[in-house]
Amino acid sequence: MNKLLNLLILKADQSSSFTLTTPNLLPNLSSDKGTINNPADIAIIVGYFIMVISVGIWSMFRTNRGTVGGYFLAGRTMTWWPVGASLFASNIGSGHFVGLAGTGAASGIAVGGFEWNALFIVLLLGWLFVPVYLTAGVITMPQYLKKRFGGTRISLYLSVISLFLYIFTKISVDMFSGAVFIQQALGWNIYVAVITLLLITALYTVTGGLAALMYTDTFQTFVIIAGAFVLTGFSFVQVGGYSALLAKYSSATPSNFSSMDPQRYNISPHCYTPRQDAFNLLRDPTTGDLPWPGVIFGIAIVGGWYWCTDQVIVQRCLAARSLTHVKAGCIMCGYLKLLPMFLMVFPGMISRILYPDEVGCVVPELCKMVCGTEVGCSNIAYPKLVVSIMPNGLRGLMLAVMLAALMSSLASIFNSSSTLFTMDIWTRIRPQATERELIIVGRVWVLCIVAISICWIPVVQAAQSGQLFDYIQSVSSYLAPPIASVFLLAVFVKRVNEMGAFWGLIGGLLMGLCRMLPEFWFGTGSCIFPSNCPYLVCGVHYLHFGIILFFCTSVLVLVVSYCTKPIEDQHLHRLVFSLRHSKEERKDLDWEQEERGRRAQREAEERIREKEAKSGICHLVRRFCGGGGSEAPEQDAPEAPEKLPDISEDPVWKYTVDANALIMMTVAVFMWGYYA
Amino acid sequence: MGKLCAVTSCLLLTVSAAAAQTAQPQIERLLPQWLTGIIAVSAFLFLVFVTLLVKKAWCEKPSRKTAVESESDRENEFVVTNGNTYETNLDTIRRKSTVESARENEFENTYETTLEMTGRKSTVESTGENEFGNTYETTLEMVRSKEDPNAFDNLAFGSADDKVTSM
Repeated sequence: MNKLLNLLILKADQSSSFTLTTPNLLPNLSSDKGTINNPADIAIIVGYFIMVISVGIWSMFRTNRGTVGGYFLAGRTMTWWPVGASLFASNIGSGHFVGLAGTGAASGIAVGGFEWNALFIVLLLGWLFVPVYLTAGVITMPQYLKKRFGGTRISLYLSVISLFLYIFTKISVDMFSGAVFIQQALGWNIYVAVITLLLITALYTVTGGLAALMYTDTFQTFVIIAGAFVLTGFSFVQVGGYSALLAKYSSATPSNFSSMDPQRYNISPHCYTPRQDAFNLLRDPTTGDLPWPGVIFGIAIVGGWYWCTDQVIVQRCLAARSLTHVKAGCIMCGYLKLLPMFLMVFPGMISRILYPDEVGCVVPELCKMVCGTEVGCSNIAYPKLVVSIMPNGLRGLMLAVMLAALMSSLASIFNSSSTLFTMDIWTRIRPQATERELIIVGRVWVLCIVAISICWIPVVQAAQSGQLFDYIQSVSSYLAPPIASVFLLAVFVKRVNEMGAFWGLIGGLLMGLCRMLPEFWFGTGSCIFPSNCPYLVCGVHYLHFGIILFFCTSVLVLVVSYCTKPIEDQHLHRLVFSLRHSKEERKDLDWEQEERGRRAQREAEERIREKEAKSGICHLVRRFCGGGGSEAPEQDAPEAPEKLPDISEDPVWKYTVDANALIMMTVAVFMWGYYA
Repeated sequence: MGKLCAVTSCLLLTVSAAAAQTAQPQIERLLPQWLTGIIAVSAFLFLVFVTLLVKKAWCEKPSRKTAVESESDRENEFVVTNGNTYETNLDTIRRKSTVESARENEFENTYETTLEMTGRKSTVESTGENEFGNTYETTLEMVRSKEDPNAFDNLAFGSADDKVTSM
């Protein structure tokens, strides 16, 4: 998902930078703008919502949502197919449809490298990271760091920065892309549309917990893939086939490309001509807009943050029944990640071929008329296709697809941010919180974050020139590499200790800010009006900068760790990869804090049991929300190892799954080689 | 991975150098696309093969020692059948026996454990002073002997001693 942020704005100097735009001033895009107002479309959309809500309600009865484990981790009972589907659906948001298609239209298939890189990273997740997280017995990632390093400052830093990144990057990008689509296709008031969507999402997130999310994600994956296939089919038919795409793309130039105001600016040909290397995944390291070292390593690093250390994704793996199910789910997600190139990037390019004057517009005044922003209109590529070439009924399906993508991603982010907030921040404020209180807090936080998202809409709309998304892209690619580096070292290098990790994180943050703030200040500019950011700061491509930042942080972490006292093995059993199978007793570094918390929690629960209200309304509410209080007291505190999943695997299944992973990697390598 | 990078970067550089001069619509490829795909796959499978070989070579060295010892264990194996006579003072014999025998109830002190991994000598100096009702079996395959009173199972994952005492 955050990869999308990188692809939303391409700040390459040569190619035009197409930014996500706000078409809120736009009365009518073109003569054939179809709004969804016929019975077939409406029936499909209504049917979609009914299905989603019923799947949500059905899953409510399948798991016990009254415990922390049941609510936040679906009781650790998920099989591989909801895990895989949920990984895919949580990742693919409406931002992918709009962003991938738009950047594909603007600069070719290299943006698909973001997706295809994830094929390998998701295997890293399943094979290297999740075993450690599972044996550690943690629910959130800051909790893992707390156990691994001790102390509270690292986990606090990670919680805060993760929440910050969620609100400012994932949520706003998804909502914004959803809004673009809704306005293009429906013409609805953006507030009405977004608020309705958020409320429906919040409804099944709040009540059902992770189980509801994962089952609805499975349904939404089907919808997304089915609808996207349909659109891809139609668009290929329209353009004349794959070879026609290859042939026609290079001549998809707009008819108006001369400057309307030569005093102010001149339009050079490379701003509106499709790139020569449009059908190459791996491009020139110095002149390409997505240089191949960046595509291979930079995206891997940022992908490592997104897939292996981020709460949204890892939580789905932790909800699985066993390690084999996790691995199988990761493989399924990997195969599904092969599809976005064909379902979103190629249709985006087809859109540019079919509508070069709108999607490929270059003259600022014309672009403003077309989509409301001067920089470029490539991000209307996908909505334009939906509106123009899909027949009645299927347009409703595509809207359902976009809604599915939007709601699945948003719901996952809501749930995970509430997990983070509840388990890391709230338990620090009130260590004596009972399980029931934690679940209530989790639900209330989802509502808070929905309110924050709604308040974010005007900010997003105010970003007329798309500058907001420049900033969002920077935010993720300059802040994520240190976190990825610290997690990687924490899992694999026993010698790394708390001082090293903390100073590495702070150093990495400072380095990232050194690049991020000047870039915000100067702005990213566009092809016609390049930014005057000095070469020293902005000259290095952001993916290359990510690689540099990753290595600098790692060096810093290792240097500081080796200069300070190591953590003894007795504190590290089942927290590092080399000791993941160890069965010895572990002395938790944070056991004092845990013990205090547990004692306070037990006292609080006893007090509650004494004055338990037996009124009918309380009972009803409790039943609806999952029967919280009475069964909980016997269980230990949420992090207690009462159900420590073991990571042993049945050898037959282990070999099956490993073989499957190898096959998937082979397919991925073939695709990379084919399009390189 | 490195090989793939090298191949593709060479390809790309030469090709883009060639295309840089002319205004061709697309970069000309030296090899057809499916061929680059096949080359990449072969390079990848080769790397996987090499990795497997290295892993096998690495893991074989420490495990060779344990393999030899467990073989000598199995040579000393013999099974107690009748249950009437038991041996005490097993100093050096290591055995692996599973309890299947029909043992009468009069032998309250049946005491068998089985050896799973290598390493320990069982020196049992057991005399006839064992208490009543102490039946203690540990088996690898969790086979229980049902006849004895006060029988309880112990699942021993590590090495366990072989001790058999007689009444």
